[in-house]
Amino acid sequence: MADFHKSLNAARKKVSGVVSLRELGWRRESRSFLSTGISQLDELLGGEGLPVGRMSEFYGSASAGKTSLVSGIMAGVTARGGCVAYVDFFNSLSPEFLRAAGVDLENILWVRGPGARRPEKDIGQDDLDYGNDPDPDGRAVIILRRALKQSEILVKSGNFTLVVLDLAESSSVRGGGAAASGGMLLPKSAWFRLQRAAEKSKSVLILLSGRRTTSGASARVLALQGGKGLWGGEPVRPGKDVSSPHDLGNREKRALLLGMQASLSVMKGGRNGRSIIFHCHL
Amino acid sequence: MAAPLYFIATYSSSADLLFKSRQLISPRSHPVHPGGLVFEVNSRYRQETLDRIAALSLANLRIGGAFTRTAAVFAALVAPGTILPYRREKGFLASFPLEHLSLQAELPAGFLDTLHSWGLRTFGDLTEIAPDALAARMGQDALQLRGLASGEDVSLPESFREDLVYREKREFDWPVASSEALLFPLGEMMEAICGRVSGAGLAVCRINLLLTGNDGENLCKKVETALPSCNSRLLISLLRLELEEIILRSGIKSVELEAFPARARIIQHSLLEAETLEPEEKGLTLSLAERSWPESSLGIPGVMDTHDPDPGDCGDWRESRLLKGRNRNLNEPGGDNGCRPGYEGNSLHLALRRERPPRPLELAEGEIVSLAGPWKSSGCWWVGDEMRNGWTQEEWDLELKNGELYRVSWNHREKIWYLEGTYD
Repeated sequence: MADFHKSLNAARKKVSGVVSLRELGWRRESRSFLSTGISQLDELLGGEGLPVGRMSEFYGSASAGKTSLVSGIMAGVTARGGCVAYVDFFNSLSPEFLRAAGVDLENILWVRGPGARRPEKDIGQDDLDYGNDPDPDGRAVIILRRALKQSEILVKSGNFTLVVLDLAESSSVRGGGAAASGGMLLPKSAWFRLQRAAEKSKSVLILLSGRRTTSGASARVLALQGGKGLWGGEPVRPGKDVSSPHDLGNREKRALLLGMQASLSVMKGGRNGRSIIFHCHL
Repeated sequence: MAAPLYFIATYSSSADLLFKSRQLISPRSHPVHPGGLVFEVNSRYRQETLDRIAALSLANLRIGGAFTRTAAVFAALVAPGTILPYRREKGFLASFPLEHLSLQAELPAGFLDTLHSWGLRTFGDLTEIAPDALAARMGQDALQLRGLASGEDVSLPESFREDLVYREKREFDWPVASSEALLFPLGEMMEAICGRVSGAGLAVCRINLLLTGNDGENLCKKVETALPSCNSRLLISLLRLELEEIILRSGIKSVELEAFPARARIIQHSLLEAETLEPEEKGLTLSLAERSWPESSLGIPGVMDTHDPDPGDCGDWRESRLLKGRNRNLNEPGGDNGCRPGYEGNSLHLALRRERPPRPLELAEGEIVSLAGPWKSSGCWWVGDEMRNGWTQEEWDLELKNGELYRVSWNHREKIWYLEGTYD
């Protein structure tokens, strides 16, 4: 019977000229994973978490819980002696909140970017607000490319268990900012290049962005959505008389922000389309 | 063949007794420690000399004798009255606790802790360690202390001299025009320096690169290594980064390297731990990363002890544990990549993304759904220019219609609302 199969396969090859990958010695690579710390999320991501040597993207608008989720993962990594590099493009990281989340700050490398905005007096001709940048070949793109180059160096070095590239804008409210994520200005090839760098290392690379950015380059994509704030006491519920912060000064009610509820959906690399709700507490 | 020397060490708190012993034993003596003398006598006459001392029965004089100076001193200090025959020093000292090494040498910081963590307690344990393995892990000093523990007369570790500088200089027959061409002579010079530095059991912590131009112009570049190193390739890589920034107006006539040494680091803290990953390489990675994005700054996050609205701080990565400690590779197959213990369900700690600097805020009517506050704070109004350093503000948390949560502040001085950050 075995001889029959052998001769059949040989005949097939002669006819088609096609050799299967398995016959060429290909075997599925055994890959390790980094747990997110949320067992339900790990399950949605295929059972074990974020794949090592791959890029994962977390995207969502302001208050979607991206930073809280990453802080939780960072706390898990540093608690076990791992090192994390945090490339903070908009210089928005709050060390005091990281510490409260249980992150060992001594094991974090914080790369502070120039930020999108500077005090008005410092704004010159070449200072651009990335979201409003009409010129994709301008200075903003150059700085973004440098940030990516730096992330590539950090990922390739293998000295960090986790590398976080944070390109998410903080807010969408008016007053000089823009909602667009900086990464949107880059061509897709830039993300594939970064993915290739991650493949050669033993690091997990997470990209935080405002919108889905990396196209097909990321192995796992999570879409996060803000839900609602969780309030203690009686928060002020403004009516017509309090419609802007300028009217807040005379209010005497006492309340407290306790946290927020958010949700995330797996868009790629796991049980796609499935969602979970999670809570973030202060 | 001349008879070997025999050493007799005497210790006493009485200067009179020491003087007497000098009259009895030999005028050839060397002072050791306060209150101690070591005499060199011809081994043929050692018994005669010892009998002479014993006849006087000097009760308060501690005496030890051995064929090595080290063993004689240990014998006098720890087991007075011990007279060791030829080649019995090692066996005699084997049971001594490691702490006794401090009687004859200054121990490097953390030396005893490291040995204890390896399970080594006595001189005998230390001498069992292979010299090469010990030197590779703890440097030249440890090797000399091992010799001390086996009773050999070793040259004791000299106290480290801060002013020590290793120099190499090259003068060229014709001016070198490009910085790339300079790398060849620099490589040779660096190798020579590293050889000399590592031979002394030290490592390079800082390099000064001095260039003299054809027109007489002098240029000096300082390179600080993240950790002391004797790896010439690594040091040349750091120099290459500096050379890239140099713009030469004329050719280079001469080049000089000054290397400032530091003590070599311990690369293994416990026999049960793997050797630390090469932090020098990590330092090079971070230097490269720093230069690849000049607009950025690298550091270690910290929290200042202040009531300032933004207490975040960024410390120097060169001084951090991140560099000197080891990154446990959690991502290896079979590594510890499990859930963090104590993680409760789907609950995380809320994070705040700061606006740096806070920016003026505009909100449309009816956008705010809920809000809480104010939390009033002020500070540093007493430091110098109040307008520049001080702050007086009320902080509020607010939720917008679209679910976004913000921390905003009302600046009393400017009468403006600022966006401090976004809860995310």
